[in-house]
Amino acid sequence: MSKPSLSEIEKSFCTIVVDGKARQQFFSGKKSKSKSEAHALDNEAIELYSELIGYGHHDAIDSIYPGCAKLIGEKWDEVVDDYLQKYPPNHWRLNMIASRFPQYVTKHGGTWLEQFPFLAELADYEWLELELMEKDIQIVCTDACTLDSAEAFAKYGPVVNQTLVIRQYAYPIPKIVDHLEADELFVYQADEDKTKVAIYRHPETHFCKFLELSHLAYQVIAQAQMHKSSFKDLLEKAVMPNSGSDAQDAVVKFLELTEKLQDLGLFVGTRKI
Amino acid sequence: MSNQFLTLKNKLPDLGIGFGLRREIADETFEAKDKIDFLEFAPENYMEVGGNAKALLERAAEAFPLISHGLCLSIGSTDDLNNDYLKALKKTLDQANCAWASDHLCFASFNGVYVQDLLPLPFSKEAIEHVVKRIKTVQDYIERPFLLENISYYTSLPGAEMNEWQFISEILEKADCGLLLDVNNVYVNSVNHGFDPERFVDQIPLERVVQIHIAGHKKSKKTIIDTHGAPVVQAVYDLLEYTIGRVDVKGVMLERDQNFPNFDEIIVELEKIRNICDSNPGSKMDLKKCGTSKKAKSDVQAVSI
Repeated sequence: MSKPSLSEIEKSFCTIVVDGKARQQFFSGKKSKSKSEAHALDNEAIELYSELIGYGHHDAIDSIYPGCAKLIGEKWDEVVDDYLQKYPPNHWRLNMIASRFPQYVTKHGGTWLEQFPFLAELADYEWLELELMEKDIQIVCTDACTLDSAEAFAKYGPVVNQTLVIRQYAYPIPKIVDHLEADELFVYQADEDKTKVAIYRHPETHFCKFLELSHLAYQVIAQAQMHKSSFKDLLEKAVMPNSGSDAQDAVVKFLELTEKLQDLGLFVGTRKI
Repeated sequence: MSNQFLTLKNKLPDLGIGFGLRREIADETFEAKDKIDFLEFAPENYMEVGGNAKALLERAAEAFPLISHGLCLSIGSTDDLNNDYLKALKKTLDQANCAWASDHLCFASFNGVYVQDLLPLPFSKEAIEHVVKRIKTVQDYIERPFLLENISYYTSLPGAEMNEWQFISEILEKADCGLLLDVNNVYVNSVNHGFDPERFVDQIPLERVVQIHIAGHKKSKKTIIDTHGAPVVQAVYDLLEYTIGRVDVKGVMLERDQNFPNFDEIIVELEKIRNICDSNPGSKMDLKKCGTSKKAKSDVQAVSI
């Protein structure tokens, strides 16, 4: 029998260190080319590699999805193993190992989704924290001009924090996270109005922030992200259609909102339109 | 066979005694600036990453010379070299102004799957030819000296046609690259696979050693595991002492990646390493921060074996 090539050796070795079933078959001689190939490897050493690799993978995923882990409880490790089998790590950065977990939950969540229908949204929420923390973007801040005239209102628009992501969840995910952190029991139904959330990296601390948004705030941010809008455009397109009859009140609320968004780091300055 | 690397090595800076850049103990590391000459970082933690990680690397670059030590180049993999990885690596090396870069003599990925561990290669001629070609590509691409580190391994792979030191030596010579000699890995392998660690050191091309790693390990029932999570043991300090007198090394670095102790314990280890390097009459290392006992660079020629 010809000796195995480098590629064959790497394939066998990789397979048996990451796949427990393949390992058993290999050492029983079912998957190895010959008994001598199996004998050339130390079963205990392969177990050790498997343990070290598994520990590293689980540790990374556990740290990124603490809420999902708590929710699923003692079956969590099995879920992670199944995820890794279906979505093997395909990136050099360790944390990226967890990037497709929300996708896995949506496609393969099965009974877990029946039990916890918000699980996919929770996974998305938890992943976003890491994704935005690590996103290779320099948040460019500019001076915030004073909106003291109609001309400034029409001429300038907000600079949106480049890491900002907004989501509409069917379930109140931020509240669910709070309950999980406090080890409190909870029951939530899907909400037709949806929970609107902003997730972003703060330009100074670099930490991720989560904010629940009002309908108005969500509309303003969505509009500002989609188009390079002036404050006047935002008022007309995002605020007025949703305001009552009191236009002056709507303008005041809008000004207060933009100031708050600036203070919190969702808007990071103003620019000429 | 080209010896261009040895000419390049002579021009490399003497970095002294270094430590690993770890987010968990970064503040203590920066506070101990007068006790640490350079920092080594894992590029994968910073490549295409912004935010706090980027800020940390920039802060480190302002305070220390930086050296990159990769985990996922996967030089031995039969997958194609990952061009995205190389591009991101080069960018990070340039940003951090690294005098050299290193990774491990292993494979870490197969068929596009990254195992996030260092898997051994068979000590075969096919593996040598394969790795040599790839080192040349990498060294050309990153435009700076490239070092390979000898890894800890817990089983030999089928297809071996030589022993580990012959395997390493042939790769270094044929690829004309440098060695990052990990003395803890030599010790761990010597115990797990039953060979004399000093004989190993005597058999490798020491003139190609640019940097040395030293670390702690964990003993299990049958095997010693390279964890970087415990204090360095005396036998490994002894091996450092044996080695340091025989090499013209540009930096010695203490690895500690987990189970972090009080930082004072790290400082004690760094001082011990410094004393070994400093007190060894054969040492050719220019120790920048060795205090009152600083001595002139030895004029002993590189050890030829």
